[in-house]
Amino acid sequence: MTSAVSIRDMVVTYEDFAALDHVSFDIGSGESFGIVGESGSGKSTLLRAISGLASFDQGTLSVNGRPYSGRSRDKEFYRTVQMVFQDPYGSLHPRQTVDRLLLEPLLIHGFDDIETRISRALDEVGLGSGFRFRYSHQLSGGQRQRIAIARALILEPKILLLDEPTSALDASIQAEILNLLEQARRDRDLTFIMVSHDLGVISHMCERLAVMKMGKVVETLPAAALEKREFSAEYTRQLLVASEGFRRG
Amino acid sequence: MTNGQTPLLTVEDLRVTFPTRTGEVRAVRGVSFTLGKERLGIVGESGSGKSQTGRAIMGLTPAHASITARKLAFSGRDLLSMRKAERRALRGKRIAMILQDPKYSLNPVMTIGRQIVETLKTHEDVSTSEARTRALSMLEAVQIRDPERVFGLYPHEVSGGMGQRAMIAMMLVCGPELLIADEPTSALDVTVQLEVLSILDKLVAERGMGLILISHDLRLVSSFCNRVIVMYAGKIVEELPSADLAHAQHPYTRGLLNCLPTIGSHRHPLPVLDRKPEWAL
Repeated sequence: MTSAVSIRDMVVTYEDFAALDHVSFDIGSGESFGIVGESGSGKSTLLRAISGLASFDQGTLSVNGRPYSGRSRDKEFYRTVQMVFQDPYGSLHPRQTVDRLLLEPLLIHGFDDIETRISRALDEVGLGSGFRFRYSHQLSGGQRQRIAIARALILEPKILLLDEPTSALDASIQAEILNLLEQARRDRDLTFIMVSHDLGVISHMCERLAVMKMGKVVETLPAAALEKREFSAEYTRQLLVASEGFRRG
Repeated sequence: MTNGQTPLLTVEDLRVTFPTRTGEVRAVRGVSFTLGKERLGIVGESGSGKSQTGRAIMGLTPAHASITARKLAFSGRDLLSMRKAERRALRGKRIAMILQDPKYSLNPVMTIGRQIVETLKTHEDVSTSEARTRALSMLEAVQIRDPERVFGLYPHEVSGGMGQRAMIAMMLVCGPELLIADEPTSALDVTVQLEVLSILDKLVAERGMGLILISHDLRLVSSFCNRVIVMYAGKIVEELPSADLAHAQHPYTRGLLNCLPTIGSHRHPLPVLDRKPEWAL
């Protein structure tokens, strides 16, 4: 398996605080890789450092064999890597229609056949052309997240960075979005890096996962190991117990 | 009902309506239940009216909304016809509410200790030193290790879990008979959630309170409460004992239970809710 994303000893610091502390892993092409951890564990920082939204001070990042450093990413990078954010209320421009939101990445990357691409993107996320000229405030949370996914997929990327894509949504809507993401991954042979605090979601969506705590990777394990409870870190056990819900006594 | 058997809370045909430019939004449409010294869970998705039900009982519905009910009574006293001052005396003293996010529901410019003392002094005639002692012992009761230190901290100086414990302390310090907890742990990290829930569990049991736990999380509610009410589009679609959750009848309840991804279940794609228009009738 060739690696799509390879990270070695990545360090991100904010003043004296190490948000990421020598994090390394390789994600194979076509793999779905999960990252779990609590707030402050560095899981979102990691995605932001990959995508160039945060600068990393040390270590190396290579995507499909091309090295990147700091915050600089070329256009080619964003053709390959797209991101879906947690909060669908904050990640769509409030004064742009869906049409405009989907048009922008196409213009930036000089795509042709814009008309078809936009309507196909909407169809793919199950919204249809009726949503094309709406503003984001006219959409529900689930519909907004579908638009955010359409905006990421419209550039036909190879790698999708998913930062808690369903944690702001109701459980039933979460199921729809997760199904949509899985379908897109199958159809397009995508690589996923998915961040979530929910072990259930990660074990459903990913083949392998890393458990993070305080900026470090505590453990990397196959998702199947969670089921068989074959893990070594105490923190992984705590997360697993927590995911099973409240028990008295 | 005769004396001694008056339920702690009676809700009959509660309706909460918000006027908007595009017409009325009926957030709660005829909710009825009674509550004794037990734990009742109200479950539903966003917009189901679960929070507005809790707020109406607490008396926190925005002024422009209209509330009607055939009966809304707390230990035999009608809440809707009560004077505002009486309602204020109840609120915080005999009925208390824990909100979702301590970041937004604690006063940012007052230390945690002062906020707890303020609650106490509003409702009871206590000296400052006694109020302080009781606040400190309440902070200890919510398992804050160093109550003296936390007493003097501002909300932004503590973690989410600590803030939520402080809020529980503040709400329980007057010894309420009814506690309404609206998503008390959904803003917290998963491992912290369990700690906060077990603290809440213990205190509710020790102090013999009635509890209404409002949450979107059906599993959490069923493990915490005796009885569960499932709301959809402002109405109760199903009410059942937590133990019988597996035998839920309504397709919405069953759908909510089914759509969660869990470790060890391999369902691709996940079952999704097929919302029937008749559920919302």
